[in-house]
Amino acid sequence: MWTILVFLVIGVAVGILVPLKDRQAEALGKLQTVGVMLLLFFMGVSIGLDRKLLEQLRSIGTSALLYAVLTTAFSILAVWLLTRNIGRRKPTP
Amino acid sequence: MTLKILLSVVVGILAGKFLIPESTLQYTELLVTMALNLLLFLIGIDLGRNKHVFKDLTAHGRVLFLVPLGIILGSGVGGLLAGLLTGMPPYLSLPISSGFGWYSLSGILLSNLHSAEIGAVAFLTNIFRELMAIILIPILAVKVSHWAALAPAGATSMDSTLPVISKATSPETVVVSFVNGAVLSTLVPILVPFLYNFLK
Repeated sequence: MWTILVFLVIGVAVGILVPLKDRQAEALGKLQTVGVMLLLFFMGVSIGLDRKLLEQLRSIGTSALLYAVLTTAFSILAVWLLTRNIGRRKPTP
Repeated sequence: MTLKILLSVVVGILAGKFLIPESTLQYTELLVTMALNLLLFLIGIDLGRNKHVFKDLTAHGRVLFLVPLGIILGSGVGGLLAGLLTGMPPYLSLPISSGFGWYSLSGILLSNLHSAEIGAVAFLTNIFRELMAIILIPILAVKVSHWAALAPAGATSMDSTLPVISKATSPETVVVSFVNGAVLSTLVPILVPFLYNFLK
């Protein structure tokens, strides 16, 4: 948790102190997209490599999926209900 | 973006299952950490460049409290329902749903508190939750709201899903996301044992 915060804070400092041109900012966005894809790829690899996980998937997969779907669905509903009038941001495509 | 995200995860899982040898597991974990730290640095630069972030946030300060509250309540209701459907009592279903996506910790906690099987259910539940979050965040950000996009992420909104949130929403949402993740991550090791012991 602390490592993450350190990298974030260094980034914020760089963002404040080093003025970027629009073209550089665009490149930054592209780099982020590539980074996200790499992160998710390696997260996928760790899941695929986990033999025990794939075994468990057969025995308790349905229960776990049910928990995941219902907790996610009700979290979305509750957050939407509680925040629907705050800072109505037009969603950006 | 959703397609790129989905492809990256699916190709990764398939590569892990069929191509990449198991001996590389420790290196893939290192690569995940390195990619994550690099991304947080880049997200930080975005935040630093955006001078309006903290002014916007003082206007909507309530979300810092309401987003985690909604996730806690929603996860609880969803968990109780899942417990009813799978025949698990609340002292198991509520702790399982209070992992908020942090699979490693909630799995270990429940293995120690109850049994390896319940630990495995918590582990797998929260892995599924993280995967669903990765897919749902960009969709919710466009169709519902930026705040609602944080809901599936739960405790992971400060690390593994933060890069996806940053891509799909605004710098202001990134700050809320980080705070939400920090609050929920702090609560997981408190709520899981508390709910188990209190309800048992």
